Amino acid sequence: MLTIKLAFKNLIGAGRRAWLNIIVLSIVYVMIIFMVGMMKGVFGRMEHETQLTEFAAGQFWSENYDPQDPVNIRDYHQSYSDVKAYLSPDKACQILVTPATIYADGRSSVALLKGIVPEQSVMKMETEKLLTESNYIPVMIGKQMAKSAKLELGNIITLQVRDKNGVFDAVDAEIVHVMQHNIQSVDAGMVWISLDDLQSLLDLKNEATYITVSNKFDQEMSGWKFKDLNFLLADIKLLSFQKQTGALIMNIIMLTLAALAIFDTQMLAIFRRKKEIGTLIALGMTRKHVKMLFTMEGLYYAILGIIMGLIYGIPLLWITSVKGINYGSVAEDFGMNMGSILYPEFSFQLFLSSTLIVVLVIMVVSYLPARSISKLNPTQVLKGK
Amino acid sequence: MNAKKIITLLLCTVMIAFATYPDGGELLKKMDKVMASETQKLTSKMIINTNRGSRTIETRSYTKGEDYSFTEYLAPAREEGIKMLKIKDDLWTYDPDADRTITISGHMLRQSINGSDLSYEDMMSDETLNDDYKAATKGEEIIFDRACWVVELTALKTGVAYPTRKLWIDKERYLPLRGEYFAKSGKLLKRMEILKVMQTDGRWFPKEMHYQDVLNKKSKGTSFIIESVEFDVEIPKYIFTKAALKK
Repeated sequence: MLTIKLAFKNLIGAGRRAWLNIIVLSIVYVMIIFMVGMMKGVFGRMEHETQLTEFAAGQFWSENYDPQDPVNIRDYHQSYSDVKAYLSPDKACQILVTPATIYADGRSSVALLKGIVPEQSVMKMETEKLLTESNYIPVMIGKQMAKSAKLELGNIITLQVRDKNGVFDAVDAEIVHVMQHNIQSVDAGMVWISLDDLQSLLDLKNEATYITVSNKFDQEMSGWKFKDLNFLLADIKLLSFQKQTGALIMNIIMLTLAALAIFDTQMLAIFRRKKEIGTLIALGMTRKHVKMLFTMEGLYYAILGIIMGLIYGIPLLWITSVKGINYGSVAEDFGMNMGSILYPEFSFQLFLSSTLIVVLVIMVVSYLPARSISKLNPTQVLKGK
Repeated sequence: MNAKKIITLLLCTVMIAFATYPDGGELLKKMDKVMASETQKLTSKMIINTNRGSRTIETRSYTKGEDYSFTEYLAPAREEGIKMLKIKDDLWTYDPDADRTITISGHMLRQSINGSDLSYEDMMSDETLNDDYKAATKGEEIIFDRACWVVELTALKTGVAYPTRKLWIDKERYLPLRGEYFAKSGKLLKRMEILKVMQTDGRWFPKEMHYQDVLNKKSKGTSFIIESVEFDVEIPKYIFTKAALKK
């Protein structure tokens, strides 16, 4: 108990140098929590939203479908006539994909035209808007596509496609809805149209490129390759791992710098307080106790740093997790499924693990210089040698 | 209105109603005869007009029948040496900078050549129209001060890129002075016009053509100017081999 009290008094007595260390450590502590929370929040949300909006519980792909091969994507479709009985809009949603050229206001651009069942409830997309009455074929796009192709609600565009035999067709379509979500993988470069309309345009009745299914779907479908969420979300998981590794390296660097400052302070303290150490030993304090005293002093840096960090960190981190951080269009231009406002996610486990790591590291760097105390000769140090 | 006038009007109406136009198929045959030859050596310029300006690509081409074609880029310097070889349904391009031969297939054939209004497929499809379309003469019109037959073409088989076409065939020279390409829905997609003609080897031939993507209302189109053309010339056999691409 005496050691604990003495260590605290010594630390407070060290003045500005001690407080500087405590402030730096508190910043590092808050930054570590923030960065880990940010990665967790962004990628967790990205994974969750992508699953809800695009993949649901998984997809059945047509025999040769390869989403990485946009050049030949027109050829990847097959009949679902044999399994049609299982495909109710709440369990499964057929999607047919074809390349198309969009003509709007004197501009032309290439896009993927995706036919989807408007009544579906498998994915979180407002596909029912495709049932809007219009003099033209109703289509919908995402906000990213609207921005890049300079399109807006109510615009009339011309879609040029080639049917299954390679014959050109061109029809006028009206943009009846602009989706506001941040899932770019169902937005960028895509135009959504009713499946029936696209099948009719391409002369591909009862054919689809892939079928997205909900948890309620429990049928086997021969001729279709099932892709589970582990496979479909692999890219996001890999990206998340890479980014978290990067953040971990940053955290290690920050903590190392803070630990170095405390190590340096401890070394200097032991060097300058040799007479005090000699006196304490001469008065009967064991070397073990003196080492503990200096380790405790170091530990107080961690404890006070963490307390200070929590005092200003908790409100700050809470605000960022509720309000998010607005990266503007920069975040949208990343081409990932995230919006312009990024929300970090903080948990009790995150606070606890960060606290333990900081305490452990600071304890180690405080103990290392204190080891030299065991080699000190009290008589010599009291003589000033 | 007196009786004379009524009779004249009736006669005119009857004449128009029963006017006999030449058979569309025959017109196509004549047109194909003018445009096609056993072999052809052609030097041309393709002027690609975009909103940012225009680019000119000079090429020399050799063709043999419908199945063989070899094109070499002569200018600009950046594209000099690029070669394209077509044998039946296969197309290869050779880029001297990369020293690589690339097979153009599938949907790549539908991509635009150097940002022009022409696709590789458009360049390759020089088959005689009579094989793919049923032609019907629908009337006569004056185009570029020339009297033309208006011929409507309807695809005879599935898989023909443009299911309907409309041609304005010069009554005297049998050149298609204007061609319009329609989608399945009937929407006009492309327009081709022969703006200038020349007489060479005793036949009339296009000198300057203009292609326009009609759906792209701001498109300024692509011009194709034929500098020189030789018909039925001897073309060495090696020209239509893949080895010729790297020479």
